[in-house]
Amino acid sequence: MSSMSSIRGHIRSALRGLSTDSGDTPVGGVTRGNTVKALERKVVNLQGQVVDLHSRILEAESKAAAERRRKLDSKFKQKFKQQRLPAWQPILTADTVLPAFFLIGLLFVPLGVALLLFSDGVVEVQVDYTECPSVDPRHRDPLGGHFLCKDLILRPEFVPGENFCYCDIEFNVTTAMENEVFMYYGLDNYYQNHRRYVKSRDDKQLAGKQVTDVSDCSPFDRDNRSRIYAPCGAIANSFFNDSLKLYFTDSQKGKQEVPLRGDNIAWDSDKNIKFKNPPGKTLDDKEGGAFENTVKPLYWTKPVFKLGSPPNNTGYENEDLIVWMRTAAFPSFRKLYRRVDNSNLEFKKGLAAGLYTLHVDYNYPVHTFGGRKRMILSTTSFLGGKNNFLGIAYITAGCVCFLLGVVFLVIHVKFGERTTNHLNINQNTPYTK
Amino acid sequence: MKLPCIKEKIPETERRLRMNDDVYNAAFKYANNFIKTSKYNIVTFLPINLYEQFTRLANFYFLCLLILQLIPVVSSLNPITTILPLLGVLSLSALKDAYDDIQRHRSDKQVNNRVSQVLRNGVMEEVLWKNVVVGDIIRMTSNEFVAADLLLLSTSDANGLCFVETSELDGETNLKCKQCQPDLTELHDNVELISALDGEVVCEPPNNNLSKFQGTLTWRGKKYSLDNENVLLRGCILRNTEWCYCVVLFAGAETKLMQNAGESFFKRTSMDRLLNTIILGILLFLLVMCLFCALGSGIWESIVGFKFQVFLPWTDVIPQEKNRGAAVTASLVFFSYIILLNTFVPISLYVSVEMIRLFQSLLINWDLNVEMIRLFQSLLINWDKKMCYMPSKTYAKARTTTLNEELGQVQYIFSDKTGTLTQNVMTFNKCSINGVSYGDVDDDLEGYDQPIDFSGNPYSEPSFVFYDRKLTVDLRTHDPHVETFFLLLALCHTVMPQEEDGKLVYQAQSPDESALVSAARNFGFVFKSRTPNSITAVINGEEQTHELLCILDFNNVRKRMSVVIRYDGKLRLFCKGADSIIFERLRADQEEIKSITCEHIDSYAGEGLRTLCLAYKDLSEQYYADWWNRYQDAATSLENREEKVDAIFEEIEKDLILIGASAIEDKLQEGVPEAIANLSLAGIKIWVLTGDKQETAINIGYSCHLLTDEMHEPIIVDGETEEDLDTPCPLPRPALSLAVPSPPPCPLPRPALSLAVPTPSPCPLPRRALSLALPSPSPCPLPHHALSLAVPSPSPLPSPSPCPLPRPALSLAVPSLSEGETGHSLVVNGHSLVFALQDDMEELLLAVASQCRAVICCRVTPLQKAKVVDLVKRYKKAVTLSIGDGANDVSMIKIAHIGVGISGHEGMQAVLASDFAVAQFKYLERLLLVHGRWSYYRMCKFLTYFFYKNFAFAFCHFWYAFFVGFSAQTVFDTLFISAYNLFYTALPVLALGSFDQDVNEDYSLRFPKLYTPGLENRWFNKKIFVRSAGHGVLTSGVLFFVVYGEYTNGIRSNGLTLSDFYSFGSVLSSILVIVVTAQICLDTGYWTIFNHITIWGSLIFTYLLQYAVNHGFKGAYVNSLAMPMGEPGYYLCSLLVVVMVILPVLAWRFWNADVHPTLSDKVRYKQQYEKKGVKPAKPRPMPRLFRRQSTMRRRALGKSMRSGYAFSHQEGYGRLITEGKLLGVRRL
Repeated sequence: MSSMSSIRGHIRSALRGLSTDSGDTPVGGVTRGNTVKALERKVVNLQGQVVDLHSRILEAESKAAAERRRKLDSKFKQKFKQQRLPAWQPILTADTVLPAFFLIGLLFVPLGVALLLFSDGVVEVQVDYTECPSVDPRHRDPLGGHFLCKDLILRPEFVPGENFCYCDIEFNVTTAMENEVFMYYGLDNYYQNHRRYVKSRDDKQLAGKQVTDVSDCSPFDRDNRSRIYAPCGAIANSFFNDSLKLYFTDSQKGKQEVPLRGDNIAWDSDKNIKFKNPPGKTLDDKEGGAFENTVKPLYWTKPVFKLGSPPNNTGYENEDLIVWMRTAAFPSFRKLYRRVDNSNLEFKKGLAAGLYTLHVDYNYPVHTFGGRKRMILSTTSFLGGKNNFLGIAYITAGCVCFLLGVVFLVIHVKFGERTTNHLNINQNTPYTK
Repeated sequence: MKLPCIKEKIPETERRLRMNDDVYNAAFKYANNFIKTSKYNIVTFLPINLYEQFTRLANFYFLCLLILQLIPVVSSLNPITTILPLLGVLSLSALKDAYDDIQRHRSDKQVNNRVSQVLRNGVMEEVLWKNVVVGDIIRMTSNEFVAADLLLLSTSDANGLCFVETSELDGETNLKCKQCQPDLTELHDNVELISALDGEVVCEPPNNNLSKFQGTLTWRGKKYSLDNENVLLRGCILRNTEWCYCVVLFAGAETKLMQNAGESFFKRTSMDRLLNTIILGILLFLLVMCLFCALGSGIWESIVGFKFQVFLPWTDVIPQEKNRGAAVTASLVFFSYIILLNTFVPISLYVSVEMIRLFQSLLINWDLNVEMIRLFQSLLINWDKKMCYMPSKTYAKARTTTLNEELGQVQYIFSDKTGTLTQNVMTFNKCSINGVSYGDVDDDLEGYDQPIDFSGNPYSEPSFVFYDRKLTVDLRTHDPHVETFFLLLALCHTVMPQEEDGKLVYQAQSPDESALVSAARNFGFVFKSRTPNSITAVINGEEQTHELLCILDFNNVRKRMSVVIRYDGKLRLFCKGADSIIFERLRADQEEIKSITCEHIDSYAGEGLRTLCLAYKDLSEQYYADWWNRYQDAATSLENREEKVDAIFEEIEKDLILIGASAIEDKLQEGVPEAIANLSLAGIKIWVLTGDKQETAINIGYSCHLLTDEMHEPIIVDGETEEDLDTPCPLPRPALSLAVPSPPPCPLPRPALSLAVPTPSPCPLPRRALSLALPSPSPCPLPHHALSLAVPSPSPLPSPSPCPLPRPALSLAVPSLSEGETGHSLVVNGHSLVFALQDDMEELLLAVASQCRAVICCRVTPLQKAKVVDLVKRYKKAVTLSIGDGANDVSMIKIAHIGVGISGHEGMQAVLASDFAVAQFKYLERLLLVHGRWSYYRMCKFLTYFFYKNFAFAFCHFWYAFFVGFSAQTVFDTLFISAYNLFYTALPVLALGSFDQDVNEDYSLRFPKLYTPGLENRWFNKKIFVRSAGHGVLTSGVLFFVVYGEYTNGIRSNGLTLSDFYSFGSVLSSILVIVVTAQICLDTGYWTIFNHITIWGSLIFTYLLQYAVNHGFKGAYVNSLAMPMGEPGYYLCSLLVVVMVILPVLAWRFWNADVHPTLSDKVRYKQQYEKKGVKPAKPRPMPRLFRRQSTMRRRALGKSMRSGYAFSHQEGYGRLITEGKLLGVRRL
């Protein structure tokens, strides 16, 4: 404060100096020029002073602020050391807890209902084709029926990928599936999350880096000529290799294939970051090729660079492979297989209700270990697929909450101790009653 | 010459050395004076420190885990998850150890580089301590530290005496006198003579016995025996001695001081022990779970896994045969799950616990520092007028950082009296002279509230205060009795005068003596100096020298001391001593004055004053000469010398003329009654263990509110000496059957248990007797009978013969004793303790004592103090705290769970042995009720939450095991597993453990019953642990299955699947962090800025770090959290989990707070209510105690209270004075 007033005094005296100077100056023509110059000098001088004073004011202010901060600081330190820091001390009283219960109850029940409605809007069709019979006339059994593909593929003459066993399954879609429709394959009792299975991959290899040590992939790391499998590991080796096609039987046009797209079925981040083809002149295993010195995985019928269509959907960048490599969290899972092509006029609005046929090239053995295979068609909502779990859970939680609120209200009114009693305590009040 | 190589191995049996013969001495290769307390050097630091750390069980456990993780077949986790925290723990501890060791190096260096004057080659040289060797001759001057254990050769004193202060060794501040061999005194300060010394010393090998030394010196063909009187030990300081020459006997590590520096043993809190059992329990639980999982794995492998080999073949180490393969896999999986689930046994627990404790200690230090300063200032203002008491500027200090929460669970306080409850400042308060009592101040009279002005007396002390002007008036009129009284005080004592800064200062064996002498001094009878045969005093401004003929010194049996003085040409014996002793030896015509004085003494003693009776007697020359001859005979007789001397003394100390009595006040420390009242309200039992006499102790007990008027008369156990044991019991057996529920089948052989019950009812059920009766573990509970129970009884025992004690009555009586205002108190005498502490009696003693609200043990030795503490510690399983200030309390401080030292004036020994040091007893109240309570509260909350969050974490793996074929697959990301305990959830719980409080300090003190949970172990015990672990398990269950329900078939709105392993783990882990953070929000009762920062900070940090790492390193988890977070399902799921997990807890807590509110809940409410300004917090109402009150009460009871005899238990300086040895002290 004192510095401020002294500064003000300075300004005042400086101004006074200016006014007296001008007053004393004779008005004569000779001296006028000098006077003006002198005045200008004065003004410049004064301006300098003002600027100087201004900076001093600022300095003083910042000093004062620093002082205030320091004081506040030491006060804080003191409080800290005395354990008297300002603090919010919530306590559980009926006024705060009971309304919370009611509020949560009232909030959760409608939310749950909304979630159920969303889930209800999703149409999902599942077709289990594990047990489907071969439609190949060669596979007729002596009784006139057809052998099941699951048994046929165990036969020694079975060559995977050679269209050895295929089957058709007809199913009805009762509700029209509007907008985008997705086709998934589902596997049950399939332990993609087993520790040794999850571990058995080499992310570096899949990211297109040169790898020499693929011990993680054991036992599917190298073939007996010590060539690295591309891709290596149990996950890649067990790549799902059934191929699924969908036919719609229209009353007018007859049976027509539903156009399916295999792009955009994997996560963008996987495609862009985790899965990259190795560098090389060509995408093959020739000298200088990307997959030089590698060999196709043991169970595969064709090498990795022949998967899908070049240039973006082959090799490690093949989306089916990427989807497969993102191992499932639970032994029963589904993976996105295809999307119904909306660009096709016929299926622009999704799938109409009616009779459909699933055509399967049956290669993948799962029943030996009790596994099942499914095809799933599903639309999505804002919240994803069909799942009633959240809706039911929210409604239940809301109801319980509301009920608890009621129960506690009764308890509080009947048995609760009045908080006013809390004030009537003394030194001898025991800790508990 | 001996062979040097052999000596290394053979332990030294005796030590030989020759003065001025370094060649001879060097042959023995004795240790030189270099000391090393440091443990490591730069090279050895790493290996030794690592070894030490891995010998700790926890670290070793984690090392084993690490090794397991490095085995590929077993490893279920990336070893980095263990390496990182282990490295963190190891390096933190290593840093701390390194810092400590650097400090030790520094202090070693400082000590080793001190300089000593050493005689080398005939000249004095300055030699560094570390270069001093055995056999060196050192010249020391006053106030110098003793460099090694030395044999005294000659001193500046003509009698070859020197004085040392031994406070560093035993904590006693009074000077000890050491003496050299008389023949050696001729050496004087003559360097030539000394360098020609060729004596040979043979003495005991190095040992740690401070009070014993044996050896011989051979010099000029003569043998001298050496004992403890002749040696100066390292650690002492030379005082009041101009110079002395010494020869080094033991140096460096072989000195007694260093031999005594044993490893101080590590105290563990009961929480630590509980934690250890809990961790053992968790380990067992872990094994069971792993076994379960291994079994599951075996079953799964044989049913599914065996067939699934199409896609996932078994590894090479597994046999291909189905069942054997499954079995081998199962056993491997067992170890894998041990690795995976070991987060139950959290390594960070130890680190966190240590950190919290460290922080709490800091708070204690800070707080009490500030408190001390505040007190210092206010006291300065309050006490400015009197200026007699200045608190020392010593600060409270938590010397160990590991015992904080134990402070919140203290059940028993064992307190020393002198210097702890009392100030150990004796003030001359009252006196009775010739039947007139002086010192009682009538407050109504004007001017009497001002102390007498003694400034006319040049020797007066400003600290001396006396109010009763009657005494000065009588003194001025030369009342002969008053003059004799003060003359006696000035002459009859063994105090030594000393000059410090030009002022006369007294050195006395007991503060009482010095108080009396200084009282005389202020009243103009100034004791000035003494020689062996004379005492010089300035009496009324005139210096007189009186011939001192004989000192009949004090000892415990005699309880008196006398001097024979030639006064005005006449021989006169002055005697002062305990009233009972003096009264027995009065002349027959003294009855009248005796009875008046006796009355006065009773009233003084009733006020808690310590009294002494003063008497004199004139002797005739012949009688004295005759007596002196007989005394000489007795003193030189070889058999029973002491008894004979005592008998001779007895002979002359009779037919005394009583002058009067003095009363000395043993001042209580500030705030002691309030502190004790509040501590006992809190439910803490306070035992006073003192060396004082029974009456003194009881009086102090009343004045400090330990015993109160509402209580019953104390039960006094005063089984005298052993003769008592043989006297037949005065009471018939029925009295005992009263005491023992079922009459003992075996007869009491020597029944000394005398029980007198004051209630006259025919079949009395005296509550007092009950307390004795309660637990009688042995069928014959009183085989010995030192425990004699004497309750002051107005009526004799009616002794009804068949009066069986109904058991229900007993059980009824127990609660009434522990509750309510009334209670019992027990006073046990040291003699009785000798017997009561024997194996078969101690349980009975404890049973009686634990029924009492207050227990006072008087006349106890330091060892007995420790034994009593140990007794309670062993049988009661209770947390004990010992508080004391002196060297005699060290054993008790060390043995108790918590030792508190009073950092006062009586040396540092107690403080050095203690865990906490406070300046005043009253800070104990704050230390326990505020800091201890908070520490316990916080530690419990911390632990409860810590186990909760770790169980919530680890059990996710367990649930997942059911879905992964028990293959020990982790559900979380490696990064998350390592960071969960270190980063994501560590700080909020640390903030909780550091700052949380339910009620603030004022309310903690206002409502001492808030201390109850600590006493009852209520806030953290096995039950709470199981509950919090169960809570964690349920939380993880809800979390896991809700997320499972939502994501098992998870699909994004654009059709992509979300049910993969990576996103499931990410979602689960991030919601886990949200849930446990929500839980800590609920647990936090005191939201400071730090809680906000840590809670919200770690939530944000979790997401940021997950994002940064996943996207920065582009690992397997890239985008796997961001993807689900792009969907509303993630948020709905989180909200649902939080509500489902938190609401039941909220409901439970609300139910408890609403229907069964604890005092803590109520006080919290009150605090908040009063904070809103509705009612200002009242200063805590504390019953003010008035000493008079107890006096009145005692008078009303008509009980004769005899004096607390005002002498220390030690022998005085009498012998030294008469032998003329104390004259080395500078004369005035």
